[in-house]
Amino acid sequence: MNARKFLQIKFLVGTLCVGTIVTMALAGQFLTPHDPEEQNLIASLQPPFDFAEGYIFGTDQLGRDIFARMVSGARVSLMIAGSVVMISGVAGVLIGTTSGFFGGWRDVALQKVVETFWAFPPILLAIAIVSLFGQNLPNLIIALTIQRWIPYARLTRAQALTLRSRDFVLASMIMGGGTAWILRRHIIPNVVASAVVVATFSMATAIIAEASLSFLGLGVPPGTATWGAMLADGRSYITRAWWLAVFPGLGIFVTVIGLNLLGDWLRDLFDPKADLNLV
Amino acid sequence: MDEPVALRLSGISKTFMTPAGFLKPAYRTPALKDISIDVRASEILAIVGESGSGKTTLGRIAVGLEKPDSGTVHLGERILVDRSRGIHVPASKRGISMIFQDPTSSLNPRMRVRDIVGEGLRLAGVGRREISERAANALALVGLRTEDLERYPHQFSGGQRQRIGIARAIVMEPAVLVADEPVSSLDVSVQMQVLNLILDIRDKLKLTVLFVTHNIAVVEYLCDRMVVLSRGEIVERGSTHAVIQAPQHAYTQRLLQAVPRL
Amino acid sequence: MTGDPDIILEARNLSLFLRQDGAELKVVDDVSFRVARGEFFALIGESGSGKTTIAKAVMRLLPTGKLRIAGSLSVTGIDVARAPEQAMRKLRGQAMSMIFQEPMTSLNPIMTVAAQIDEALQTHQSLSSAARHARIMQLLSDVRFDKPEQVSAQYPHELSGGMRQRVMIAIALANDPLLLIADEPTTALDVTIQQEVLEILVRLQGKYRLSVFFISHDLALVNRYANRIGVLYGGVLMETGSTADVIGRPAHPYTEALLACMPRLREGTARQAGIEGNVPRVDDWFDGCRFAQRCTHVHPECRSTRIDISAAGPTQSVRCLHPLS
Repeated sequence: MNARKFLQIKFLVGTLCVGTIVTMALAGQFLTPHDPEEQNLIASLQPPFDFAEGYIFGTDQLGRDIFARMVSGARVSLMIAGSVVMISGVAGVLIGTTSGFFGGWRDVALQKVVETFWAFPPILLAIAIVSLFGQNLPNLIIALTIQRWIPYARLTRAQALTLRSRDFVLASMIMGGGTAWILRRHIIPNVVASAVVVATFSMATAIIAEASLSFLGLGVPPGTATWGAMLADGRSYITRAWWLAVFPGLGIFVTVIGLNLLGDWLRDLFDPKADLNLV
Repeated sequence: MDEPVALRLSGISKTFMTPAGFLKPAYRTPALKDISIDVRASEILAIVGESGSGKTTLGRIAVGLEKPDSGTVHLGERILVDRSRGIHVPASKRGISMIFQDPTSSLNPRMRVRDIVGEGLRLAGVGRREISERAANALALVGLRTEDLERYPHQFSGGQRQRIGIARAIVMEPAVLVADEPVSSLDVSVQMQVLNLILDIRDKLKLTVLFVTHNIAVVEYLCDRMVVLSRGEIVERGSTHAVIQAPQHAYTQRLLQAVPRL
Repeated sequence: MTGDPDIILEARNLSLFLRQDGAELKVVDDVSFRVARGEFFALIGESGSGKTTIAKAVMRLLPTGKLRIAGSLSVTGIDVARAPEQAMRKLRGQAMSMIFQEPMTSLNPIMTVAAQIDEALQTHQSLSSAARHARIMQLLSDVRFDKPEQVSAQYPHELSGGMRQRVMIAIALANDPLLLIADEPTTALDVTIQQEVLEILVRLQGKYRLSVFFISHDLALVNRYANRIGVLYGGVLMETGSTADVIGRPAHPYTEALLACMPRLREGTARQAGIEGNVPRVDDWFDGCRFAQRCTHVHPECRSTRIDISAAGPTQSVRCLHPLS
């Protein structure tokens, strides 16, 4: 692993994008004197870049500072996407590795479960869950996680299938390693790398999914600032106050691009160096 | 010649069953047919065969990775395997270790050498300090340094990784070592180093070695006696010198004349 | 096309560089050898020697973006480094062809043996269907199949390793190549099958005046079958010569050491010496002789001087400051 890896464009631009968004989420409130919920009808629909009043991104139809709402929205979006990726990742890796490692009827049974869940179109399923069970944060997270664990499961299952017949696993069995030991010390550490790559891409799609649901009014409870909800609000004002929609849209764009670039970079990093086998 | 028998395999048979698939009937592949072998203490015995001879299966049965369909395995006076009486001592309790063919896949790339070599001891409940000490000793015995404990497998060459595998096997203080083609994936210039290492540790630790291979030249150099397997049956056995110089069975003769020599 | 028509493959001051992660790695340095018409030339090397890269360079199997060729490498007089892709496609499968170590991955699992040989025939020749069928049977019996009709209808997974390798040879020979490149074709096979395959190659060599460029790590194996041998170490060609000379009177200390560490029947407690140390890494190009660190005959100047090739006998040339006499 040499330092040159960190100079690649993908890494630099990706980190820049994601870093900007994360910084904004964490420390953005210091850049604006306004509160995200603070309404000021006199100052409604103010154009952006008004640094005198502190309206960096302008205001919306209720006079709320867009930048402040974006900061608050970033927090919500990142938190939701983050939890979704964590839960789905951990569940998917555990299910996939056990399925692949054991093989046999356990594998077949789990694969049927996977196929059942996979059969539903994601957004429709999410809409169905939220409509049926109510629109709140836990349900939103369930709706977003319910299929998201599957790519992890598929990937780690394939890897576990190969790994279980590796000599170092056999050596461990000979020395007394039980199933839990082998999964914990030998299988999982060797699948984590690719799971992390999946996680970065999954984070990007989770943000888009949450934004889509919020856009449709089915995401977080109405009133909470998220980028998707802001996009929905801004739709009707797009001709006279473009900043209501453009900035949240840009926010989503930058985050997703950044995550995709980082994921790409990570994937290249973990690629086996097959070239040297030519010698 | 009058050495006691360290490992005795009697009447070992094994058949692999492939279950019926779609449009294909189930079929059985006999891997070993009634194999009986006495391995004398401190000798290096070769199990020689080509692919499909059953030699790898025999090695795995000895170490405990496979269960024979019938037959017994004795280590000295202890019964390790007796299917008729339902006895099958788990691999970790046998005092038999194994070294593998591929130096790359026999070590977990994400573990340090210290953890690789010490894994068996850790599983046996040995304390951290004692593990470090014994691991360092094992490394010294195979010609590596104590600093190497902190490194990862990819930082070593193929020959060195095989040494790490040998260290892992001997740190458990086994009575018997089963070696499954340990030099076949190594460069020729490195093979001799590892073969000499095996001779060294056999002398120093009074180890008995069951050496599974298809490489006759290696057998000639390393092994005291040899057993020739063909399709699951023993066709010839004897001291290496005797078998090489005057092979009795047609298969052995054919095998030996196909071996390129200088 | 220039040069001696009897020289099928020639490398002159050949250096190969692999491009990886934006960096260039020298794999082979200043290698020169020739393979004549009808000659069995073995290139011996351990890992890191560069032998597989050379084999792939001859067929230019690696895209020019990945492999840079310096010096000259020519097949029937055509410079492989500079020829346009059109010309290369004409050479591959026709003037030269290749067999690999793993026949299972080189054969198409969903095509029958006959279909695969047929594909090779159709790519380079326009024969009638009957003529192709006859040729397929001829090829299969050339590689010692007793029942060519039966084998031709089978799929690769129905064949053993040795049989697949023979099918690969048949495909490689479909268009009467002048040169067959064999990259460790028997390493994965049992020793009795290995013998069969090599005897087939030698017979074909005699029958069709085929040149065989055989890559291997096994000196004992090529001793039986090769006419001439080249010994490659760490990307540098250390010695070339006739088989009898290289094996009987090696000029380079590495060749001698390699011969000495091949296991033989042990007498009592006597030990054979291995070669201490490890082969140099591909990314580590130091001054002087590549073998200096492990050589028992090393002199101080071996570690710093650039070493040129010198003659060491009627058929031998060696790259050593102090060749064995």
